[in-house]
Amino acid sequence: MKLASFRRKLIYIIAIVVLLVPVFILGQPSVPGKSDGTGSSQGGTLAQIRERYNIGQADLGQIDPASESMKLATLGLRGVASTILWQKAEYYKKESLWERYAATLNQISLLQPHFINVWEHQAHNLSYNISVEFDDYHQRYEWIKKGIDYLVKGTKFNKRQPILQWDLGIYTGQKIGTADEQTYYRELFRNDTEYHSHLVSEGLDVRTPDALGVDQKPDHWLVGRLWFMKSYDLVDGGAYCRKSPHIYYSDGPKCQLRFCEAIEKEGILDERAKYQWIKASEWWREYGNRDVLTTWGHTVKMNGLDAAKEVYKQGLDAFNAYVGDAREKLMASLRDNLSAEDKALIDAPADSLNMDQRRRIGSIMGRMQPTTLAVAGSVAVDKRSKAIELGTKVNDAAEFLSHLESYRTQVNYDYWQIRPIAEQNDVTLRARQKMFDADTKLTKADVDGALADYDAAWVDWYKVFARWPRMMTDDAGIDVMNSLKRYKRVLDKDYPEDFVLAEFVKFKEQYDKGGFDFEVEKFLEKWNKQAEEIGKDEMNFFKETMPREMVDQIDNNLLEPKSPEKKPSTDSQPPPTEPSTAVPVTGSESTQPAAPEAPAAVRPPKLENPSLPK
Amino acid sequence: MRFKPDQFWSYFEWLFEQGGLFQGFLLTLVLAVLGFLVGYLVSLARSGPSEGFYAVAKVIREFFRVDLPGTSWRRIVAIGRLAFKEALRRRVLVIVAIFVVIIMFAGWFLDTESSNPARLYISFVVTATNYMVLLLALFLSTFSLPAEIKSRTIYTIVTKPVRPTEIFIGRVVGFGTVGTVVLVVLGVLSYLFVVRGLRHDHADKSFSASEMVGETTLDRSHKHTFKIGPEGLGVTSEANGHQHTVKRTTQDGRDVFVFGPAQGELGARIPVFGKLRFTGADGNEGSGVSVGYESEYHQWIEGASLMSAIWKFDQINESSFPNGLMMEMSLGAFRTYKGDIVTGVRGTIVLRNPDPESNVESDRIPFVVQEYQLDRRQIPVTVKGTKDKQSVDLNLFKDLAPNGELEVIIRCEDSGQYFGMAAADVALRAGDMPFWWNFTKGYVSIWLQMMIVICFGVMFSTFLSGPVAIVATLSFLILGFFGGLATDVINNKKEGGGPVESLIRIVTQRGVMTDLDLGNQPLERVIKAVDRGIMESLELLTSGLPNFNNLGTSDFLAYGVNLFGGLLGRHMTMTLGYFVLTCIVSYFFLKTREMAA
Repeated sequence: MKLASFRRKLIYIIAIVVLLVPVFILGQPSVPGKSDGTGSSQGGTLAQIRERYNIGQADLGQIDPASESMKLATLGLRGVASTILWQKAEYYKKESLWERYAATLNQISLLQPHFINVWEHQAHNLSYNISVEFDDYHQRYEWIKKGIDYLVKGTKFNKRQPILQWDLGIYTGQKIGTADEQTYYRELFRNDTEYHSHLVSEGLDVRTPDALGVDQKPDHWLVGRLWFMKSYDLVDGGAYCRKSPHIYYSDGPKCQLRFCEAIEKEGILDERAKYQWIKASEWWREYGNRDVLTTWGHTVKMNGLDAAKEVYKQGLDAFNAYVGDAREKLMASLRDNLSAEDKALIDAPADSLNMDQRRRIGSIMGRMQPTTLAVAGSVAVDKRSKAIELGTKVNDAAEFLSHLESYRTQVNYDYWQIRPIAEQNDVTLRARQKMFDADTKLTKADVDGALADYDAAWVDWYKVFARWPRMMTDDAGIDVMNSLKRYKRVLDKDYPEDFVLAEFVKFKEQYDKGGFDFEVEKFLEKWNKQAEEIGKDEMNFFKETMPREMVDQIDNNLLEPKSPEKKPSTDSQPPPTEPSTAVPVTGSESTQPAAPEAPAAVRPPKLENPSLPK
Repeated sequence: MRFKPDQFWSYFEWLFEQGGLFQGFLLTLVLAVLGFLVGYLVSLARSGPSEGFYAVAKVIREFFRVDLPGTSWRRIVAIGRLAFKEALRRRVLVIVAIFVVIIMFAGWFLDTESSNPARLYISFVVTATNYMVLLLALFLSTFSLPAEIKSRTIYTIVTKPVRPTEIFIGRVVGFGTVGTVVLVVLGVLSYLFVVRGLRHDHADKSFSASEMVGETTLDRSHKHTFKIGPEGLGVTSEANGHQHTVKRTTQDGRDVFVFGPAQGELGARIPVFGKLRFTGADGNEGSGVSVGYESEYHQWIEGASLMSAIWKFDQINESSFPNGLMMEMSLGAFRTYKGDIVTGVRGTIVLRNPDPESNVESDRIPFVVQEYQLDRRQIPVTVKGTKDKQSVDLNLFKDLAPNGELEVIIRCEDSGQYFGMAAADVALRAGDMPFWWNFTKGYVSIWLQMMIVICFGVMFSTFLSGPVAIVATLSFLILGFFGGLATDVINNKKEGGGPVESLIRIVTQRGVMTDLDLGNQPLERVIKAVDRGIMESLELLTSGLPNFNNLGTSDFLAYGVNLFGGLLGRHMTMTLGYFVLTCIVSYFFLKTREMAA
């Protein structure tokens, strides 16, 4: 009996020792070496894997005693405990027991500090879903902050997760700035000095000039941008973010653009607004210069459209020169194969066609366009190999161009490139100021004053739209239409026959119906051509509507030699030797200087932040 | 706080009107018949039909004729003392040390930035105490008797003239005393933790002498604004569920503000609740509507319509409310459109004499809803109103509630917006109880739960071995806490089905919201039928067991509501019932075991 018991114990001991060997090999911790480099050890397999992928506890983020003890206290039942807590949280949310809900989230995050979805999901719940449950907007604002604080806490535990900083940018910028309560939220944020101190203590310096609004108080859009910048720094440092890079990198500069929009809505329409728009333009261009990896595997620059077009054009020219008249021949043969009805349609005068026929012609013409490789295949056999090689290059360039255009469309790149340039123009600022004054006068029942301001504003807006037609189709166009509605209500009759914005109103009404419209396209084409012409002599175009003193100032500035001191000196200003950086480009995708179009003269001679105390 | 309708019942209402006594009798009868049948079947197997019946009858006779009348308190106390000493020898006081460690580090886990930290602190200590004491009761009560039976120490007791009832009651008394001592210590520690943990102070941050208003510093994640009156005294605004008094003095020509301790954070309001009914959109008796929330706790009335919520209160008299009525509301608001963002949804209160012949009602008292906080309104003894369509000053007690009954009507005034309410969302505050007294009552409630666990633990240990007894008592505890799940599954309130269906879903990785869809309908029907059988058996079983969720009263403490005497009395009666039940069951087991023969 005793022998059997002894044997059993011996077997147990041997088994334990045998099992300990792989545990030791796998789990041996790494040992940092001495200063002379001796005595270091890479540790076991697990330690090496942790080291290789930076997933050691200390690499992931701060080690919190509360979190660690919570994990230990569950005795390996962390998953079960988390599930119960999630269910409890859902119950509390269902029953609107908010304090308990927030407390439960706190416990969940301690149990699962490195589970990113917990931070993202529950912060969204706090800031977006729960805040709206409160009737008082002060309480709503507090709950938005709770969501932000939750994410901030998440960043402590997960220092290499840029998505959390990106979320913080979204919450701080967009949640506060695009809510129906934005006016009140913005005011609350500006004056929330305790919260500013709290953010500073959490490592975000909201008192840096880049985060201060025109009243020298932190603005949430600019603070949001700081979070985005933190996120970008992480990604630039090698961290991975599961976002499309072109959209991901556009959110930071967009904060500055949104900030400019916000201050204009609040009636800041002077040098301070101009300064901020110039900054926005600068940062948007920086974004355009950034290398962005596409889902197709190649890297693009958002402002590389002209270069891409040039590559394509050169390739196509080389191809066409090589294949000679092969394309025309192929097209002629394709045309011969068309039915009589189709031939008649494409030969018909353009004015006699209805919309359906135009669409059909588009389809026929598409079929008549031979692909580059088809053209290459149609040349003589001895030239075919080279033709295919050149054709492939053309196709690659076309594909690259198409991808770039697609990416630019997704972030509305053109619009956000043109908008700050247009908005920093004195005429635009004056148009907005007049419109703002008129709206304000209307609320004070000063109808005559309002009408006078409106009339002055419409003339300026006409100029702005003529120079930058793209402004008609987005926010600026919407702002003008809203004011026009008020104007018309006050007029109590239809617009006058010679109304300066009559064409814009007609266009906008048509445009807002959506869908493809021939008239809209025709209008845009005409206005774009006109804008191109204006761009060649922009100064004179705007001078017509400017007061004398402004014209004098512009003329004086134009006469002065352009020295580096006269260039805008934003914080992120590139070296002064590059002329293109001195003035934001106007509608051109090229990084090359766009001298004729650059509205340098309408900006102050030297850019200083007018908001700063003198 | 979510009140359940049954929590409003007075003790006698529960006992007689709501069938508490009847249910108790029914349960006793069913258990007696079942007990007799099971006892007889066992006896039948051992000794045959007539001998078996005789044996069972003999035991019953002995219980009523000999053992029950002969039960001696002296022997009970002696056994109890023995159990007490034995428990102390098993170092149960370690639990106090564990508790001290837990509350020392509680600050790590509690959300200090909560908008009402008192609720979190109180919930935490009460829940932690509750679980710890129940676990203590579980371990203490289940191991003792089996260990004595195994070591045969029990023979030294049963060979003496000690009755089985005395063995059971003595152990319950002994373990109960140990548990009580531990509970008192934990209670005192908890009280100190809450009171000290919430203690804080503020200083003045800014003060405008022209407007006599100021702001405090941010301490413990909150700050207050305050207004100073002509005498240099004032009160701060309410934040985190409390206020401070402020005294302004001058020292060396400078303003110095002295802030008093937090008030209103720890309290025990004595609410008087009314019965809620609604008028529908047509102005007749009806019900509230749903605005689409998953929770059905609130019913909603539409603004600028004939819908209204009417609370009928009784026992409204001058002696209970000498200074008029302190009305406390916590209504919900739901907007179908944003409307005026700055101003909350508006409503009106009307007080009405319930007697339709009287034609007496107050003028409309306007208010703006304050969601998720207690909106207090003082209704003075004299209010403006109409009597027989004449505008007059009405006396609250003589005109509006001459028989002690008063109706409070609430309407929402904003078109397209809604008010949400449950019966407990409007209450009249009849005074306050000291916090320590409410805290004590809350701990009495925990003590009752502990005694139930001890009774069941000792009962299981009379016929099961230690480990099995502990599993049995633990199962009983789990059923007591989560038994409601069976009812929810049967009523389809919980998705995913019963145990068999859940297992299939886990294995096949199907979400709970999708159909089971195994491609074999008869099989699915069988699975659902088996599940239903299991869950209904479980529900039947739990219906006879104590529901620990209903016995818990931590919300009363956390939300500062005086724990109703009727509710506590009901819990005491139920505990006594379970004590008697387990005592009888234990008697029969001890009596029929060989060691007691």
